[in-house]
Amino acid sequence: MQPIESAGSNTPPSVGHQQVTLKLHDTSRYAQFTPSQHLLLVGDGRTITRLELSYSSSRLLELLISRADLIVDRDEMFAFGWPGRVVGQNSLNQAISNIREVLGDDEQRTIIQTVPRRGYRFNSAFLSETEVPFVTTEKILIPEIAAGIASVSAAPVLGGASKVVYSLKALSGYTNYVLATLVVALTISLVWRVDWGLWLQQGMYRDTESVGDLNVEYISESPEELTKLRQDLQPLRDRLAAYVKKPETVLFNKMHGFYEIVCIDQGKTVQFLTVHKSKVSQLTEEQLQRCIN
Amino acid sequence: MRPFNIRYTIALTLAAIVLVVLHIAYSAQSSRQIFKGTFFASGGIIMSNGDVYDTRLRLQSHGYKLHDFEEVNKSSQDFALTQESSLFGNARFVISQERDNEWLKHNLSIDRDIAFNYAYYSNVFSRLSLYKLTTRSKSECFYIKELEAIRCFGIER
Repeated sequence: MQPIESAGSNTPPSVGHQQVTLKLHDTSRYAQFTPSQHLLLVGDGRTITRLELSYSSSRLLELLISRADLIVDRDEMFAFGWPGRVVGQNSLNQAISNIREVLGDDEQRTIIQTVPRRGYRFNSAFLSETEVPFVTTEKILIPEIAAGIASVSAAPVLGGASKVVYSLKALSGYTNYVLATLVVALTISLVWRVDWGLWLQQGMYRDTESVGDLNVEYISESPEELTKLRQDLQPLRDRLAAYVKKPETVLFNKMHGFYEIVCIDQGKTVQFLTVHKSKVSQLTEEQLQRCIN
Repeated sequence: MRPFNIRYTIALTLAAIVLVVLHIAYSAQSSRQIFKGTFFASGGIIMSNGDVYDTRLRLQSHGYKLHDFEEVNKSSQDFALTQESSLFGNARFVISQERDNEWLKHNLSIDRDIAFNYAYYSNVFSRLSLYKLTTRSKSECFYIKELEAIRCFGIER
């Protein structure tokens, strides 16, 4: 949009039915102003807030934009904003204040600049050359409550019933929220469901060694017990190894005051000896051979 | 902002799908039957007083039910267990029927450690955690945590 060259001109604003895209202070936010509908769409990349401006506010914004970078005097603003009516200075001040508020310019006042004793000026640096695709062409799916909206003196700047945000991006945000909640719930329930003790075999320690054809596995409830088990049963392991004629697996375990010796023959037959710890050294050759072969 | 949101949506959707698949896989895994068929083991128990008792074990599965028939010398008892859950070959069982623990005491002189294990094994609702022992042989071997005992079974007597 090209600014009108002369200030104080009575030439009607050239914005007309065009849509004007405005850059706001927050670089992630844009506003799209449609003067013919008195409509301002403010987007933050995720949601679009639809704001219906009052007639006067829309006309004032339209006028200032059409004269971007030029000072517009108060008389012209009164004539254009309130045609055929006489209103006070406060109405104009309040209208400008509320336009600034919806544009997020109420603190910095650099989009609409006040020129003391002369009028107001719209800063063309906040006019966007590029058309930002707003959600009006997208499907309207999810309503959200809009942020707080101000009013202009006696007359509201914004249509009160239009404090609703519709947007596919809002759906995206809502969907992400639902998905994130779902992921957290599924993760927690999975962690809660898994029988970690069973999976990690808590409370069981193993060690393995091979002596000739004899594969020996030691099992115990603690690392200390495992070490002791290996020491205690070393003579027995050597005796068994002497009897082995083919590859065989033997399991050693300490069960309370007993030692368990399990002999597995090629995975088909299982023989075991449960021996009180005081009797290990007294195991006979026959008992061991019966187990191992 | 928009591309990031779409990325988040895709990432979260994938994560949700993976988690649902994991839930399904876990359900399938935890309901897997550990024992299928009949298994045997035999041997002996040598008590602290030197008494030697011949022992035979036989396991028979019936769905998630497990019947454990144990014979010590001439005394015998059967135990009924039910598989509650399983995970990667490990399993939790619960004793599903009460058994009289006097069967060993009538004719045998057993040590208290053995007696304790049988007493625990005889009580209904006693839980047993069976940790799979992967050995070079292909026997079914488990460490029973509550009893601190190992049990291995072959397919032949």
